[in-house]
Amino acid sequence: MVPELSDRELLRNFVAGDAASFDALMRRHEDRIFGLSMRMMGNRHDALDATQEAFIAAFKNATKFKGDAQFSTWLYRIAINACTDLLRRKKRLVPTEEVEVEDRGYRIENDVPLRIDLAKALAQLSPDHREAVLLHDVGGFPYEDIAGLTGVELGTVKSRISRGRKKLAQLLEHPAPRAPSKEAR
Amino acid sequence: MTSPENAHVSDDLAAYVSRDLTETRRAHIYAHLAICEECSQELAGIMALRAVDFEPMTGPEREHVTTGVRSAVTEVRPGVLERWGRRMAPALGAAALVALAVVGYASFSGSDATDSPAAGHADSEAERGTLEDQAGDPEQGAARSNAAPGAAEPHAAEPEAADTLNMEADQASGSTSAFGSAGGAIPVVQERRFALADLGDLFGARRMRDNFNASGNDAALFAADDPAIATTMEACARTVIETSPDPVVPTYSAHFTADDVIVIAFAWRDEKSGAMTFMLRGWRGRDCGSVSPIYRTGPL
Repeated sequence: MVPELSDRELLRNFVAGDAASFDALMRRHEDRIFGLSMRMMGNRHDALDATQEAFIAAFKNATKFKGDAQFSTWLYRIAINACTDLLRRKKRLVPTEEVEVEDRGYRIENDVPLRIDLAKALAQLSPDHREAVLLHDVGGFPYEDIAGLTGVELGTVKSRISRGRKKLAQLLEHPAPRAPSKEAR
Repeated sequence: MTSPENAHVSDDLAAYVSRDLTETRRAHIYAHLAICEECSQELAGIMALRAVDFEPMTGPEREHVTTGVRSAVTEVRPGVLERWGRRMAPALGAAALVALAVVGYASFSGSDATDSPAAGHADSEAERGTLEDQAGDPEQGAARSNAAPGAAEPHAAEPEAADTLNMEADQASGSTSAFGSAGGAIPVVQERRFALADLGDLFGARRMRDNFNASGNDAALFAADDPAIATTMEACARTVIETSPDPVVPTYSAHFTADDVIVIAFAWRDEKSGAMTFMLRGWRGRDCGSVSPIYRTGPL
């Protein structure tokens, strides 16, 4: 364990071949990424999948991290995309509910319907709005960091967050009807 | 002039929910929320995001995630994607893909095991640009994620890509990760080649469990009669399809719980020449989407 090192230093050490830095980065960030994934995926099984894929993407792209953003913000954005990608892939073949009721050895929790509603509502936001809302309201990242990471003006970030929140509240009050699955036969 | 109560408080709402404001500011926001529907709606959105309750990851779940990440990262090998792309992209672009899922529990788990390390497999790196085709997103046509120019593209990874590298090539390529060849390397069980017609008998695949069409590609999954095995086979077959570099192939993600060897055979046909390319891949472990492949062949 090398807890005194910064994320950036740990990542640099990982790229240089230090396996302990990998473990340290995982331990430091996995709870936050899992929390994000639970919100976006709506169930524990998929959240674990998404958490895993987010870290895989981050470590595989470690050399591309330029250090012009905080590692935590960069990783969070990767995780949002990992969740979105997983949702996109799953949507083609299986409804969320089918996966939800399967017991594959993971913990079964009681607040599943609420999480599914939230996950569905998040999936209906535009990607820009979803990303901004999650980065700020779940990840806790300041406007300036989000603007730097996404390459847009501060005002645009604020606007996206504001509109994303409102849309989310509207969707949860009046969720859109579920579209029939193309794959269901 | 706008009175303090009328000024929107959007910027401070997250801090308001987190109780990270002075009492004076909190009182101001409280008063504003009583008269402003817009800010109240924003607050409702934040509360919905914050109200989600769940148990943190358990020890075994952490281990599962870490093991999967370590395994995938161990297998990063520069250049594989480029080789894969050169060899397969033209064929896959017009391919009718047929996926056959077969299980070879006994025939692979214990026979002809070697100690040769499986250095890894192709890495798609998920370099497909910005996100699109968003799940359930009615605004997908107009709104896509904006990657910052020059910033690292954080598109989610496809954990692995199906590849046609033969075992010799795999073994010749060293791992470049922090874990080296010793950490998590899974030995290749064996290399075997089969004729297409032999596969059904060889693995006892007796009935079609599922089939689907997507974007002009046909894919069929054959499964054994045992429902548990069938589920496992289907999950792994879909994982293979999912990680194919062909973006129009239907995708799926699933886990399985069997602690055994799963072998997936899959094939695709070049529509011009009619030639079938056929290959096998195998996994050992609980999650075919994340554990290391232990077995593969090149095109037959």
